[in-house]
Amino acid sequence: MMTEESDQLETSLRKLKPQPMSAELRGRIAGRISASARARARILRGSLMALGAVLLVSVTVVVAVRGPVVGPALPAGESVRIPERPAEPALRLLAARQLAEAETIDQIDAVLDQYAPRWLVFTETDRDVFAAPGL
Amino acid sequence: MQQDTDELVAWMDRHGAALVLLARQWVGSHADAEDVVQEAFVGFWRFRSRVRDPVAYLYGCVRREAQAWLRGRRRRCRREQIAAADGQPRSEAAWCCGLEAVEESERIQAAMGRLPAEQREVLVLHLWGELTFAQIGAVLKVPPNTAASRYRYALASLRRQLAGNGG
Repeated sequence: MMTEESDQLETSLRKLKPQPMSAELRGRIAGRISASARARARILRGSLMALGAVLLVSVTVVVAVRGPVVGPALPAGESVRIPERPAEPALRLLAARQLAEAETIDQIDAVLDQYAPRWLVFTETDRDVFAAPGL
Repeated sequence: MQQDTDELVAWMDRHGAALVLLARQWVGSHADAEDVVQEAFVGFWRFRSRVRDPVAYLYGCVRREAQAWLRGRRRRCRREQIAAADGQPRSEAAWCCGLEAVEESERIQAAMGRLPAEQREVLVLHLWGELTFAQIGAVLKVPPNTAASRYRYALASLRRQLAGNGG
C-alpha cells in the first residue's frame, strides 16, 4: 500500500517540469565560456612566444660563447683546392660567396662538388673572399 | 568550435532546468539560482573531460557553488543584520505547468520547502536530474544506500504533508 502511494506520488512529481533554463542564462553561460576559452588561448600564445624568445636568446648566447657547433671545424692550416677552369663570372661569384660562408670541410667540399664540373676559375681576389680565418 | 557549441547546447537542454531547480533548493530566488548555475557551468565546462562521471560532477559543481553562495549570503546578512530564511525556497514558481496544476505545484513546492535540505536535494537530483543513486552518492559524497534512504524519507514526508493538507 505504502509502495503504491509512493509510486503515485513519484509519478505526479515527475509530471512537474522545472522551469526551463532561460535564453538569457544560456547566452550568459555561452558568453562566459567563450570568453574564458579566448583568454586561455591568449595566455597559451603568450607563454609559447615567451618560451620561444627564451630559447632564441639561449641559443644566441651559446653560439656567441662557444661558436657554431655544426660539423667538425676546419683544421688550421688546411687549404682548399680550387679547380683552375674558365667559368661565367656570375657563377664564379656565387660559388665564391658560398665558399666564404662555408664553415666546415664538409660544407666546402659540398660547394666544390657542386661547382667544379662547371669549370670554375677563381682569381686571387676570389681566394681572398672565401679564405676563412684559420685556413 | 561548432562541435563545442553543439555540445554546450545539448548539456544545457538536458540538464539546465534541473540544475536551476537544484540551485533553488539552496539559494531560494530564481535569479540567484541562475547566477549560481552560470558560475558552476563555466567551471564544469573547463574540466568536464577530465572527470569520470561528468553528469555527477556538473551537479556537484552546482551544489558547491550554491553552498558557497549561501555562505557569502549569510555573511552579508549578518553584516546587514537582515533576518533571512536561508535555503528555503521562496514563493516564485519553480515549475512550469498549466493553470489547472498551479495550485498542486505550489502545494508540492511548499511541502518540499519544509523537507530537510539533504532530502530535498536528493529528491531533485533523482526525480528531475534523473541521476542514479550511485551518481547522487558521488555528488553528495555519501554511499548510494544513504542517498536511496534519504529519497524514501523525502517521499514519505511529502506524502504525509500532502495528505495532511487534503492532497
